[in-house]
Amino acid sequence: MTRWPPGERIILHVDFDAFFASVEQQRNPQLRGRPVIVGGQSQRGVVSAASYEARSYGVHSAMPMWEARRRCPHAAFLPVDGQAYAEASRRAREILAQFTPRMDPASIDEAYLDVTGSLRLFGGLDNLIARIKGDIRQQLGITISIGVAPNRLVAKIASDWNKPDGITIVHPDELPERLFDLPVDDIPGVGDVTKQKLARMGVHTLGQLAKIPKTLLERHFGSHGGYLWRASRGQDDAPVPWYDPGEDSRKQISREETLAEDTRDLEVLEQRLLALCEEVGWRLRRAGQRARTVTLKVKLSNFKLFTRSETLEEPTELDEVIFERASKLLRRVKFGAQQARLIGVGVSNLSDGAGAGQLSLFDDSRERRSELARARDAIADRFGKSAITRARLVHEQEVSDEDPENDALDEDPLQRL
Amino acid sequence: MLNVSCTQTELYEAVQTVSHGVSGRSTQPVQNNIYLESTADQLRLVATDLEFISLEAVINASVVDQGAVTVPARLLTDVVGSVGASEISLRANDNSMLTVEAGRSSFLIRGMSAADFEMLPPMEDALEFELTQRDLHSILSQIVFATSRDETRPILTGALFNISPGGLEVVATDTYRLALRRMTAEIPIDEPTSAIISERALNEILRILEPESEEPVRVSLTDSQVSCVVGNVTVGSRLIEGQFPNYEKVLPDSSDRRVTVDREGLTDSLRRMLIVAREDANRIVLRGSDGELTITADSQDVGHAEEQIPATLEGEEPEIAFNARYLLDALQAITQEQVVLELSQPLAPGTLKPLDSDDYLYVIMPMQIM
Repeated sequence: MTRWPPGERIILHVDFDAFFASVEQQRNPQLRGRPVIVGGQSQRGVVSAASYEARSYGVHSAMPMWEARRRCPHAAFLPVDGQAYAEASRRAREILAQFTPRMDPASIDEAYLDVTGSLRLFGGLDNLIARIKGDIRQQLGITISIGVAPNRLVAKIASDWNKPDGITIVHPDELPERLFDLPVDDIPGVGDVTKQKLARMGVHTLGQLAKIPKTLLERHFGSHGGYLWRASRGQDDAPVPWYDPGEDSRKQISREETLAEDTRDLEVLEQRLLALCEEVGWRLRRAGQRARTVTLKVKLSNFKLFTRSETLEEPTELDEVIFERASKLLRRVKFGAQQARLIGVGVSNLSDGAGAGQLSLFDDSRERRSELARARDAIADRFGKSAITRARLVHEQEVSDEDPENDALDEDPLQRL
Repeated sequence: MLNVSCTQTELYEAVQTVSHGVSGRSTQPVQNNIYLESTADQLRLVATDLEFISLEAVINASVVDQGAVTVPARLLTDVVGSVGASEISLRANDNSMLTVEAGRSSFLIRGMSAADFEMLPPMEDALEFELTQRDLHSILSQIVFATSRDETRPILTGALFNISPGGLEVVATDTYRLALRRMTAEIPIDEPTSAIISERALNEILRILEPESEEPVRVSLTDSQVSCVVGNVTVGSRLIEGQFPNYEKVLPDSSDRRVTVDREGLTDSLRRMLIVAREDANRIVLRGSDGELTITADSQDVGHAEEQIPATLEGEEPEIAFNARYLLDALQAITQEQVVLELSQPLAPGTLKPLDSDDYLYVIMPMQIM
């Protein structure tokens, strides 16, 4: 490699080649070397990813599925398996993070690495790239394309030039001229609208864009104009942030609903809240997770939004624990002269719990309540969600209050535990 | 005052390694720093959250003057990583300012006094023994994943090390599954002892071990602390205090049905079944008959998946449901080609182990068949 001028960063953009399709080919050897098309299977589905074998038939992502079927009828058509891709992506992130602490997983199938500091440690750029590619191929069985440049913007553009399994290095000395022949929509963030606007100004390539005075671009595009001006020159100062592996635990599960009519009646609100908590709890148990933070959201008639969170002593997957905390938060909402028009509950700070029906090796005081929740889930799964509910929600299902048989349901069975 | 020079490569590697020890959440700002100390001919770097993890690296340096200072971990990593020169010099002054010079670049970093930096107390009268990096890697990689993430039960967030003159027995459980690994080793003690070591420390040790290396790891253990020396890096941790659950009583003592299968075949099959199973808490059902193991997954939302793999069945025909991910965790940790599942009743724990080896046991609690 020619010398990198001191003071210039070395940024890698790592793009996983045909990621979804590659993951599918990796876990099913029979799909290797064959066209694979991943996407929505319904009438109106679109292609999420096409393997390189499928691309040679003109299939590309965002193409309607029927069109893909017409062009490449013998391909393997697979539904999107988000969890498998997320898992593969997580493993890839772990591998990439070993090469530098500055690693930014920008999306499920790409990442930026600032390797300025790591270069010497890994014996230079060529060796570093070989290690990254080798480790990803060995451990995940997929190939990646890498763009190398002094900044994120150019690295991202460059990774696209040599796919699949390619490497493109744009040396700082080659900038900005090396970009000049590119069409303007090669810049991330330039869509059809900007492209057409620029075309009306006679601007089609980055070289032409670079000749437009900055002030003129700012007049036409506002602050976006400054970005276009810098981008056409291959300039981008955005840093690659430190990688934070804890990010996943910040995900949340939430449900909200706009009330049929605005109200400040606590009993009505609590009843809706309980139904929402059951929904959230059910989704938590389904995902085999537990949550530690409960968030209540209330939107008032004047659209003012209240959100309050509280962290539990220990993570839970139980509806009643979520509800207990959320209703406590509800009592703290200051309605003033307003009423509630929307109510919602969310849980976050998620950790792995056991899935529904998982038995424990040791005695566990929590176990009995968990079992009850799981038993309810099992009934709901088999007979539908309306088959089992809490006494408090019963009148929603239009069961007559006079019906003597319902008296037994008046007491919430959970209260007895 | 600290005044040293060293190579950028060694320093960067050391800074990256120890910066994992910074919790970033410490209430004492100085604990978010890396401690740098120049000794006679070396530079010592330490970072610790004072609880689960203490990481220390020692690198060669030419020492002009001895002394110590602390500087923010991320800032130091960025500075050392950014410079182009191969030699770096570090010089602290009385106000805990650290000058970093490399080639024609120079940084002045605002640090904090080393006197305020706390470290784990020194270990006295420690039990010491050695394992090869390969053996320790093999032990840890087979048990760490079974530790619990539930911080409300701190005991289970660590692994139990039972240490006796003849060797080690290491156990981890999150109450749904339990991994147990035994290894013979010469350990210079008369009476057996035990320690619970946090998952954080174990993962940090795992990270720096070379899986194939015959180089030794020096383990030191006291009543309250453990440390492992791997090359120029020392990982230390406080032990987790308390009583590990009586795991021996949950190890199944009998089984009336045995299934022997090819490990990779079962692994691949479970991955496919997960496509459906993950919609329903990863539940898969195993049924054995006629020299085949049938694996099924059902989800009300998505549908059904089924696959047969060849198996050697002994005893009654099994039918049992498991969390496929729990099975996969262990299958990926086992290296032998054949594995055995020992089962009894559908709601009783099963045992997964390599064929012809008693070194590794993985006890897994079933799920209810729904």
